[in-house]
Formats: sequence, C-alpha cells, structure tokens
Amino acid sequence: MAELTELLEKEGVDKELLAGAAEFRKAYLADPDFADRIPEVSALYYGKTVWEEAVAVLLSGRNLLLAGPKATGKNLLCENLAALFGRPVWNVSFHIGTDAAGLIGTDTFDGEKVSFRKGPVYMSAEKGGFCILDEINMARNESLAVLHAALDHRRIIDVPGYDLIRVDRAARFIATMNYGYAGTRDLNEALSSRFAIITMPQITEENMLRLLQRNFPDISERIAGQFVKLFGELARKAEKSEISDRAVDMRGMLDALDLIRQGLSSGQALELTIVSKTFDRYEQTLIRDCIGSRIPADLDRSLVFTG
Amino acid sequence: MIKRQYSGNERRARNYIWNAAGRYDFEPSFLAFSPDGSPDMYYNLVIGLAYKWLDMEVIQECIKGYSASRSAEEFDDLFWLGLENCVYEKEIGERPVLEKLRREKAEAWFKSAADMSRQQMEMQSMTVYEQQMIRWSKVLGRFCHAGGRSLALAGRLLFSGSLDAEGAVGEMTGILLDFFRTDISRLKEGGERKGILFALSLPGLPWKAPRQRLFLRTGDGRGDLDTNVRLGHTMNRRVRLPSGPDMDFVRAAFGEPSLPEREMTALEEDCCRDLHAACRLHVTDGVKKEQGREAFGELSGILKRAADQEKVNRRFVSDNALLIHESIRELSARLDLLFAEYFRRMPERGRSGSLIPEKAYRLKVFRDPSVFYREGTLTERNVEVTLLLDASMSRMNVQEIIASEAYIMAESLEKIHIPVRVLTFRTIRGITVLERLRNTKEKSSGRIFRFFSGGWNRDGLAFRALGSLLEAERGEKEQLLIVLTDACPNDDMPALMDPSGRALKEYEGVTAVSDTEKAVHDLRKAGIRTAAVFFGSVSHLENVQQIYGKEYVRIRKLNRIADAAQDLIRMTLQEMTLQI
Repeated sequence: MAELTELLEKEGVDKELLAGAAEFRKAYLADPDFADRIPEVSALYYGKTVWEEAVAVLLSGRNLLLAGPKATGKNLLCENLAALFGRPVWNVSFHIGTDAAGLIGTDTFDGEKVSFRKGPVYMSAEKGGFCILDEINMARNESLAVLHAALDHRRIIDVPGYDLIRVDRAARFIATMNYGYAGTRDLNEALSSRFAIITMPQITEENMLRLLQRNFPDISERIAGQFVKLFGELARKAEKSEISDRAVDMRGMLDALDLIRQGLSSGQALELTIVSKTFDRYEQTLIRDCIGSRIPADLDRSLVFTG
Repeated sequence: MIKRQYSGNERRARNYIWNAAGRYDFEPSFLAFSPDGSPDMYYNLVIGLAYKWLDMEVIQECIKGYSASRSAEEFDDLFWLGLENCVYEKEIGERPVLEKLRREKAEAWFKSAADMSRQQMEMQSMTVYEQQMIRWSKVLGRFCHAGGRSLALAGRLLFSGSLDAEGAVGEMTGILLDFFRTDISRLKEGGERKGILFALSLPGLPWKAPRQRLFLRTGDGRGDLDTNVRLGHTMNRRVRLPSGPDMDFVRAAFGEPSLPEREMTALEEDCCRDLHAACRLHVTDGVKKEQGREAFGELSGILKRAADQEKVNRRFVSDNALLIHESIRELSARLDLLFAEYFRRMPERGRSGSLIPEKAYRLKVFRDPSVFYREGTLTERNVEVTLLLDASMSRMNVQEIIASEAYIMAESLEKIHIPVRVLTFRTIRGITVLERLRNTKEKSSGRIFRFFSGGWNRDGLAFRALGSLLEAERGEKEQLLIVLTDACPNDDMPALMDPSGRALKEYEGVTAVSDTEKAVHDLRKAGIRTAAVFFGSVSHLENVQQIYGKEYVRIRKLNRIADAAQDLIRMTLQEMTLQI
C-alpha cells in the first residue's frame, strides 16, 4: 500500500486526500477472512484529477459512478481505489438478465433446509467491501430498484423474508458504465442521482506513454510514441463509429509489445492482439489499414526494445 | 443501416484519409485508388495529410481555377505530386512509417510501369509519367535519365514542407505559367467539373481512361437519386372498371393469387367499397418460375423490368455484402436488447431462486430441490412484425436501397426469432396488388430482392386489405405494422363519391389522405399497431402527420430505414408495456 501511496504522491495527487485514505484504512480494518479479496496493484491508473475526485467522493461516504467509453481505465481505477482504501472487492458484471436475486441473494436448498445464499451486494454491504457494479447500464432499470435504499442515505438492504441489513460504514458501491456503442443504454435518473459521477477522460498521450514506459522500461521512445498515436487513432475511429470499440484495447496494446519482446514481428503481434479483437472481416481491414499507416509490419524486438 | 452509400473500397479510402487528417468532420474531395479498384494507401494518406496541414479550400480554389483548361487532369496530377512532397516533409517527423510507405509506393510504381501495355503508354500523359518517374527514382535513390526541362520541372515540383496552402498554390501557379504557359487568372472557371471530385492518375492506368474508375463524387453528390418520381393524372376521364383482361394481365405480371377464389371474393367484398367500389384486389406470393410464359407488349416490359431489377438488387447486396452483413449483426444485437428490455424472461424452475410455496412439499416428500423459480434464459416475445413497402413508381430511383434495407430488417428480426413478413403494394389498372415477399414461416428473405417499383399507390385500399389478411393470420401475437411511405396516396382510378359512380374525385390530395387516415385508424382499432417510416417530400409532411399521428419517423436518407424501424419498434414496445 505504501508503494501505491508513494506512486500517487509522485503523480502529484493531493497529499491530504491520500492521508485521508490512510486514516480510512486504519479506522476500518478489513476482515482477515476476506483479505485475498483486496486487489493487488498490477498497473496504475494515470490521471491526477480523476484520482483526486474519486478519493474525495469515497472519503465523503458517497458512491461513485465512472462513466466513459472503452479503454478509459474504469476497471483499473476501481481496483486501484479498493487497493488504496484496503477494501475487499465483490464484482458484479451486469447484463440484461441481471435481477435482484443475482445481486442480493437467492433461496436455495442445502440438503436440509431452504436457506439464503448471499449475493455480492449483500456480502460487500455486510463486510464493508467495495462492490463494483460493472457496466451497470446493461441491466434493466427495474431490476436495479432493489439497490436504491442501499445507495442513498438510508444505507439499508431489505431482504424480503429475511433480514434488514445495514450497509457497513466502510462499504462503497462503485459502478462503471460504458456508453457510445450498440447495446448500451442510459441509466435512469433514480439510479444516477444516487452516485457521484466522474466522466472518465480518454487517456492522454503523455500518460499512455508513461504507462508503456512503466511496463516496458527499455522500449524505444520513438516506437512507443507511435503506439500511443495508433491507440488514439483507433479510439477516434471508434468514436466516429467507423469501427466498433473492440480494437480500442489498452490491454491489447500492452500484449502486442509483450509478444514483440517474445519474438513476433509487430505485424503479427498487432494482428493477434488488436485486429483479431473484432470478428468482422471488413472491420478488421479498416483496423489493419489504420495500423499500417502508423506501424511498419516488420518491426522486431531489436528495433522496439533498445535497452 | 448501410452506414454510407459507398462501397467498401471507398469507405476504406475515406478512412485512410480521415485517419491521416486526424478528423472525421469532412467529406474528402479526393480519393485515390489503384487500377484494381483497391484504395491506394500512400496517396490516400497524402490526401489526408493535405487536409491536416493545408487549407484545402485554398487548394481547391486553385484547382477550380485551371479546371477549364484542356490539360486540367494533367495539372491535377502534377499538383498532387507537388503536394505529396510538401506534406511528406511536414509529417515525416511525426509519422516515421511514411518513409517506408513512400518507398513501397515508388517500387509499386515501377512495377506497374513495367507492366503497362503499349496502348496504355500511348494514352498516358508523358509529362506526368516522366515526372512520376523522376520523383519515384529519387525516392529509391536510382538514377533517372531525363532532359533538362523535365529535371527543372521536377525540381520545382518538390514543394517544400515549409509551405502553407497559399505557398503551394503560388508554386503551382508559377509552374503553370513557366512550363505550360497557362495563366490561371486568365482562365475562365470550368463549370462542368464542379461537384465532381478527382482522384489521382495512378501508374498503370491510362491517363485518358474513363474517369469513372478514378473519379468519385462525394457521398452526398448522388444527384437526384433520392428524388421521388411523381406520376400525373390524365384529365377528364370517366371511371373504367378493371376488366377480365386487366386481371389476367396483373396475374401474369405479379403472379397467381395466393388465396382461394372464395377468400379473394370475400376480401374484395369486404374492402372494395365506398371510395374503392370500382377497384379490385389481388393478393399474390409473386410470379412462380414455372409460371413463365410468352409475354408481349406491356407485360413483357414489366416482366423484364422486374427481372432486371432483381439482378440489380442482388448485385447491390453482393457488392455491399460486408456492410450488409455488419448491419444485420448490429441491428439484430440492438433489437435483441430492445426486446429483452421490454419482454420479461420466462421463469423456469431450478434449485435456487424464489421459493414456489405450493411446490415446497416436494422437498420434504420427494427430496426434489427444484422448487424455486429463477429467471430463465428464454424470453417470451409475443410479437409479429409486418413490413409494408410502397412499390409504386415513385420509388423508381431507390429500388435496390429499399430492397436491401428491407432485407436487413427481415434478416435481423429473423435472427432474434421475431416472425416477420414483408409485403409490397401498388395499384395497376385499378387493381391493388399486395405481393408477399416474405411470409412469417419462411426462413430465407431472398425473395425480398424481387422488389421493383411500378404503378400507382392506393394506400387506403391496400391498408384495408392488409388489415383483413393480418386479422385472418394473426393468432395470439401482438401485431406491429411498419409502412415505408411517402405519404402521398395517388391512383389514376378515381374515388367514387356516391354509389352510382357519377360523382368522381381524383384519388389524390385531401380525398386520398383522409381515406388513408381512416384506414390506419381502422387498423389500430383492430389492434394492429401501425407506424410509418416517412421518406418523402417536405410538402407531404402534413399528410404523414394526419395519417399516422405521432407514430412516424422521418428519414432523409433511405439507408436509415432500418434505424428508423428500430426507433418505431422501441416506441411501440414502450406503449405496449404501459398498457400491460
């Protein structure tokens, strides 16, 4: 944790906010039974302003909604926040069929009697965890009504036929919401009003360059710059609906560099990790065209990694 | 839903350009293609970079300036050769891959030049050919033998990267004056090339070859393609009832009736009254192949037009196969989500979920743990969609687009297991023909490509007939009818204003619109949710509002039909849910 706090200090994140998070950690010690649910920091979200806003919201006891297109680091930030606050995480991926039972819990027969099996929302409310409601707008609004009381000032969950549980003081709900492609919908007002909403910006060229350099310290700066530009061009193409956002994949970019290090050519690596993300042949052609206008297909590791 | 009305290769070329320009808010005036029709990567990048670095309005003004010259095409090629060097120098620092792409372009040019036939060589502008050779030799570091004047011109064409658009135009103006004795300021602007946009003369392509292969118009520059055709009435006629030969004609042209005679008679008795008392109806599944017989005169013309149009429709779809496939995928995903949103999943029994009290005894008695309801994977979609297409002559210029959009709609709905039927309507010789291009039980939508336009449209009668047909077929399902219309009912068979047939009015304007409005009202009363996709002139906007009320979506481009239909489906589903 100290390492994460240090990194954030280096990023220029407000020290008082970081101190607040440290106090929070001390005040609410996580249940040791769930220690393995506290995420490790595999990568760092870059973006001072967003960090400050998010930490402030969580410290004030509010819930957070991160809205933005793909590859803006929503999930990474969720994990980073849980790590910073030292909270166990329960993750729920929303889809059109998500219902109250999937969130709160269901009746089940344990061989002896009918009992209640707790769902992720129940667990995080009880154990003071961070509940990540991933792509919350994919679910039908009415099935989310069950969350209303948990998310507003009442901070309770009423499980019909069972208990009325109070949401632990350390528990927070962090929702993410993707917009801008087929199949996404707006969140209704009742739900969105219960969150503080951060609109996630596209990663800046500068921050992406630092991300690449942090992951690949020996990468040639010139080549890294071209990968950064390529990512921006793909994102713009998706934003203009010329391609879907499947190819706008930060993980894919990092994987491509990893494969080049393993010995593949740049063309092969990007084909595997970016082009193949979509299954539509025409879209693949457009993505290939975009890559070809930025990165030569025959770059090998000796050119990409100079260190 | 076909995102833009241009082929896959054109869209690729545009994407290269937008990508290099770093913005997507313009329609490129120039596109570059290789002789095989594929987009030329390097030159499209150059065009995009010109948009990025230079003020293209200034460049285009200059091109317009010499467009009246007989050598205008030659000048285009030279100008772009100059601009190529200029934007290359500007961009190379930011995009190192350009160096490699430029070399590849140069190599490709030499390969292509070597393959050029003598005839092609003869048609080539030698000045352009020589200048390209000098440029690409220089790029590859090869020696190039050329005369002093040519080398001087080549030197001048190396526009510096420090130039802005005005500077580049200044260079070009100087070159035209010094080497071609052409003074732009004295040339009259050539109007005939206005609006047509130019690509580049590429190696291997005869310079004077028909420019359709090279030149493209903008996405919007499709002339009057989307304009409706309007038919005019002949004046001072008396009502003429459709005769036996007229019915024979319609049967031969559109196919035998698909309903038994008794039902057809009942349908006509039911619908052909009041204003339509003099009309007749014909419901068909289309001409069967074996039905082909010798045809003469007008009939042969119609059959030929239908067959030709079917070929055009199919070609259009195969030319745009990838885009159409993509559109179907996208629309079906959206509709799937839409239906999932409005229709509850059917519960199914499982080992967890909410306890079913009346089944709880089974736990104790049979040790059967499946006494819970959980949300199932199947969604109940109790709805059927009917797509009704106006097939009158007014649709003449847009037939393949309508056919492909209807195809996209039908296939998308089929994919998510919503029964869909597609019908067309038109009136010919006083007989209103409803042709079923797809039935709900059909798995393939291929017959939709038989769509062709011709005849008049007597909307009121067609809607009445369709209402009766749906009533007979509907069963338990909710019915949703989407009409593609220009909201301009118009038939040469007059409207009978009294049963004697003495008082006649043309079936057009207020009479026809009120009649259609009433027919839609009746459809809705019968529980058929009717909505319209309006594609037509703004002067008919009032008509569409009068006929369909709020349930219509207006589209300005026909390739938005499927999108609009999706909006209408959403609107209707919302309304349905409110009523449940």
